[in-house]
Amino acid sequence: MLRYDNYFIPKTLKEYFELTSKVKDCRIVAGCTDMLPWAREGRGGDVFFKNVVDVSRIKELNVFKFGSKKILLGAATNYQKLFLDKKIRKSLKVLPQVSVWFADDQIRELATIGGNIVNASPAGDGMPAFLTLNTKVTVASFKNKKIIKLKMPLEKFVKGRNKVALNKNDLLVDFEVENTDGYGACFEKVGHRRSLVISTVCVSSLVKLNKNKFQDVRVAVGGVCEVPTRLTKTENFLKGKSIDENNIYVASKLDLDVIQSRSRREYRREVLQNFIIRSILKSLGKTNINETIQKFDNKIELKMEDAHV
Amino acid sequence: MSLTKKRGRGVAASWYGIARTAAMDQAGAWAEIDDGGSAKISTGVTEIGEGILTVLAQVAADELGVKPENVMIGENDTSRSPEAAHAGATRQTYMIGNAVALACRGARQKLFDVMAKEWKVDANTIKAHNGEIWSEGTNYKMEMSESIHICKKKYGVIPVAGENYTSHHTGLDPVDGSGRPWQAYVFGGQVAEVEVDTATGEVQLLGIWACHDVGKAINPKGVEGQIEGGVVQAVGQALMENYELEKGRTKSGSFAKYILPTSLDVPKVTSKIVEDPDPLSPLGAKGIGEPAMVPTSPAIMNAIYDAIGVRIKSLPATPEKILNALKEKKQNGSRKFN
Amino acid sequence: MSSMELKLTVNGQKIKKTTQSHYRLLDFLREDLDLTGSKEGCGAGECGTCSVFINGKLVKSCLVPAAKAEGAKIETVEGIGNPEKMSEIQKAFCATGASQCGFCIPGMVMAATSTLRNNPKASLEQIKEEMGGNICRCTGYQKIFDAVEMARDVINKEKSEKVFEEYDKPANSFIGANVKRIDAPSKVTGRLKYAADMKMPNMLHMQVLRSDRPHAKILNIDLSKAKKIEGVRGIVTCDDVPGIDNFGVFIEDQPVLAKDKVRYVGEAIIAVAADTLEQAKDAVNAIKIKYKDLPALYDPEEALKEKILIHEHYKTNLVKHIPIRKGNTEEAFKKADVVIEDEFATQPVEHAYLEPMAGVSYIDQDGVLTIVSPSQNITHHRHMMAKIMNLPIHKVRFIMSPVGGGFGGKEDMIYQGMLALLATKTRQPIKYVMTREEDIVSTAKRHPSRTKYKMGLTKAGRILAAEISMLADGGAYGCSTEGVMRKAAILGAGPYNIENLKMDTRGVYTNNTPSGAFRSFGALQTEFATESMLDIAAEKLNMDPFEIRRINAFVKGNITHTKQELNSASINTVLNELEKLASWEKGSPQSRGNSRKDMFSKDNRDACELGARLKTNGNGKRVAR
Repeated sequence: MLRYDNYFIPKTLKEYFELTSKVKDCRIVAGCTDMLPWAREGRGGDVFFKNVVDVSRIKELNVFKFGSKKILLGAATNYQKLFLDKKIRKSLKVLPQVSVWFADDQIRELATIGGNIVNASPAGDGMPAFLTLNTKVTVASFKNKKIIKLKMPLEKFVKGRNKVALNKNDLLVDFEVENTDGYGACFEKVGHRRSLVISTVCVSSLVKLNKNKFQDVRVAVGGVCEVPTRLTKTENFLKGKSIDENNIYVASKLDLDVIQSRSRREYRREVLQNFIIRSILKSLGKTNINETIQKFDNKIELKMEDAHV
Repeated sequence: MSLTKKRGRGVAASWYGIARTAAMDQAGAWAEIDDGGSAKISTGVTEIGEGILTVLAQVAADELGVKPENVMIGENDTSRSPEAAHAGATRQTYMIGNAVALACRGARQKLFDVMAKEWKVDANTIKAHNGEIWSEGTNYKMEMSESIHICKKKYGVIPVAGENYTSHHTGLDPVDGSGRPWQAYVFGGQVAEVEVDTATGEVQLLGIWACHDVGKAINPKGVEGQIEGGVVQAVGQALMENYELEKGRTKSGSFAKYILPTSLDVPKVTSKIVEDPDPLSPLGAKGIGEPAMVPTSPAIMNAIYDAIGVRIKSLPATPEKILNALKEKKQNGSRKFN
Repeated sequence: MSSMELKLTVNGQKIKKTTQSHYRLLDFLREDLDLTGSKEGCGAGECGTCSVFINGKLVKSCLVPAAKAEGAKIETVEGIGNPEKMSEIQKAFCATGASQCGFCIPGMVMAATSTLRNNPKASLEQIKEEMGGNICRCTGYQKIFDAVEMARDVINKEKSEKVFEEYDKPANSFIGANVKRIDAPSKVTGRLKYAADMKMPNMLHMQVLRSDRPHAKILNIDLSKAKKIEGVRGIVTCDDVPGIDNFGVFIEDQPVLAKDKVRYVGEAIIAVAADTLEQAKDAVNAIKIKYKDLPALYDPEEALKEKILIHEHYKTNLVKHIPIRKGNTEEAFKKADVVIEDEFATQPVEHAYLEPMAGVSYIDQDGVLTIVSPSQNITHHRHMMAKIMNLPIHKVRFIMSPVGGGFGGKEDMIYQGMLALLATKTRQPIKYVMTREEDIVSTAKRHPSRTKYKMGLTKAGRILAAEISMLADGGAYGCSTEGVMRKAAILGAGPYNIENLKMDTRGVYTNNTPSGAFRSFGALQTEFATESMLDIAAEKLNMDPFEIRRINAFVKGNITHTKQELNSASINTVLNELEKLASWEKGSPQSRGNSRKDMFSKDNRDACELGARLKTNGNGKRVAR
């Protein structure tokens, strides 16, 4: 059971920093969708905080600025917005795809993109997708009664399992992502069911074509390592190469050593490779994806034998 | 290594015994035809969701000639209602349904005897249905409410009765197991159609065709509901649920870790009810609660085998088990499959 | 405990109320406003029984601090409709028979309402996807989907409201008729009160200290700090039991509260009653127990070696062995053309009824100890309770509260004893509601099993003999193990006429969570093995799976495995009907797979590719909100 004496809901960054510099013993929350399930038997147990500060209504954390190159999303943006927003569906295609796999509609109404990243769970679905969007995050801190903002790449912000670059009372403010209109996108995930799924492996990919060649390829993986990561060898191998099964197959083998999970390692390795191939194929946006995959299957069946010895 | 999705089908059959196993089973009930042509039933019934209250209302209405919506079923209270024992062993429709039927027949007979006097007809000619009572072959016909008023006020009779139903089972011989564990058996079979994603090992159960003998379906929609629910519990058993323990401590201690089927994981179920009435009991009904989920898991495993040529012998068939089995199959080159 | 003032609108009513600072919106609705239609199934956002609208958006109210709802407009199931005036969706839920135990149903009604408000023309795939956060354990969802589609069509005027009243109105008999489900209106509107929804004057709240050790001697219990906590009215241990302290469905081997030692993680040791739930929790957290860990058993094979005993006085870990012997298997195997041997295993499974265990106990006007709980067997519970409390049986009264799903899980009397002890001790009503986590860790599971199988058949597919041996993990207490072993043995060889059978089922004690009654009670485990074996045999013999079953199926007059003559046997009819129903393409399992022609019929659902709402809606238009 979670217990606390006070629940504060500041409305601006200024208000937030004034409050947290004054009030001691604060616990910061946003959507609360992780905090409340955590404060139960078998996990955190009965937990008491003197003060809880809810940052989900801070103005600066709710921005949505749409540009042709960059798009700014406040850290308190919830996943349901990513799922429903028409502009996002067009220009950040991968985000609605992640969202539909993210918990369920009702949790998505509460769960924020900032909260998901700050938790820094290896199985978090959000991070791989934001990595493929070349996200830069803004962190605000309060020094000498001044708000100082620092922008950094998402890779730098997340330092390890449950570790992020936030000092006490610092706040993740917003995400600057690249407008990827014109990219094909895909998010693949496997768990044990189709709703409320916790990832065993998830892969996010973005692909841009130039005639018959890969102009840009971005692939990131989650669920298999301490921190979700981009598969740079795979990406670099494919960039500029022609779209063909052999290239995709060779690329799919280059980054499999990212897997750090000790449990179910072999399984994760196999699924990861399959997901890299399949998500790239799906991102290519072939109209009859199953047929394409079937052809792919048949063509490289023999070549793949060695991959699993 | 493969990226495609493969389909397959499998079948399994099953049987099940009705009511308490290898021990005498009994249930009691009281019935009264009440003012206004309504009915009161009191019995130790436990509605656990299967719809037994509706079944008992149907049985009582049918036996007493009242409308089902005018049947009131009393609370289950060990100090206030007759013993009808537990809600389990697929026994409530069989045991309590028959007890209620017998109690209602007793109550009805009292009313019919009175009306026979009133109308000066043979009691055997009297029939009642859906709130009306009449004497066959005559013009006598009235509302149940009127007849109950006559019965009470003119003849001083309250049509009330209590009865019990017994199912005669014997224990098993301790050496060779012989005995008569039940007097009624049901049989069933199901076909499953699955799609296996060979990239992830994920199995989706797409269709179940379920055929079950229930003796006599008192409420067919309720029977379907039991089949559909049983199938989905078996989907969990077959594909995802696992209460994992490590040195006595659970690793699945919450619904985040104990994985249940959601609306996106369940098959379409097509049911067909077979009626082979029980020759030994008044209603002929047997049961469906537990039998519904017995054939599902083996049907799914048989369907997985059909789809990809690997046999999962240890439940649940998780994606990981499937991929491992596929890899093993490939390495052994064991079958000429695919 | 600190409090706060909350101002908000609930179901159109303006509310201003002082409440506990730490309450979740769900607590505020249930405890302060008595709006108990919203249920607590898991408390962690994983089940959807508590779904409510906040400012028009559906959320799980167990994940919302009440303070977050300040100033908001809340809509609960009570605001959607009531039995006298139901919404279209509620009427449709009644009409299709979408409610069974009813515990998930208020949340389901909310999820359906949200789905159709967001997209009145939602397709079936979109409906399933948007309702994916609400778990139902009874219905299999199908009648729920039917209801949402029915309501959608009525709302869109594609169907008349008359569909809500299309029940059978038979001229002669109600047997075989689809009449209106009588408990549906109270379930779809959230009006039905389950045990956790009940309140009584002067009611105390019970909390339980549970073992965190699988097998340990209890050396010392220190209650001194707990007793000093404000609001604590009673603490009970095994020493407070006045009568014979044991219970169990088949073997009465379980104490109300652990005595001398604990046998599994989650076993109850001490129960506390206090004015508030929070005080009771604080008291439990303040109790100190000294244990001495004992060597423990986790593997049933190890249990059979009897090196460690779970219940010393039984001098064995074997709970029950059921043998069945018919004919002579050894001789029959010699005559068989094919002999197949294999092994099968099943896992422990949680009942996961959506309503966690809950109950209320009090002494009634006649001085009778009364327990209200969603028990599946109050008759037997009363017998055991009279013995435990050393009372004449008529001084014990059990009242059944609506059962929010049972599946066998609510046959064990695992918490009612504690309620009775505290009601007797304090003379005040006591209420106990388990959290989902507590329920999972402390209640019985489906028996995990390992089955060794040997089957001998003729070339024509006749089963000549079978030897089946199942070993099941019964966990720390007997519960229903004996009965489960019996059913597994009697039914395990399947509905087949087998003249030579050697069947053994054994259940043993370990230090794992107890195993108990669960829908299909042992038969599921052994019949799974038999039905797998038959397909293996069919492949070897190049036979159709239906055919091999029909060849062996019981017919009227056959003698069962327990040597009972069958007065009827419908298995052949069932198989014939099933073959037609499924349009089964005949053939041996050898030749099957993607090549078969009987697949992809409309009786399948679509394989789920998430994102039905990212594509198009029912109208072929893009979904936009």
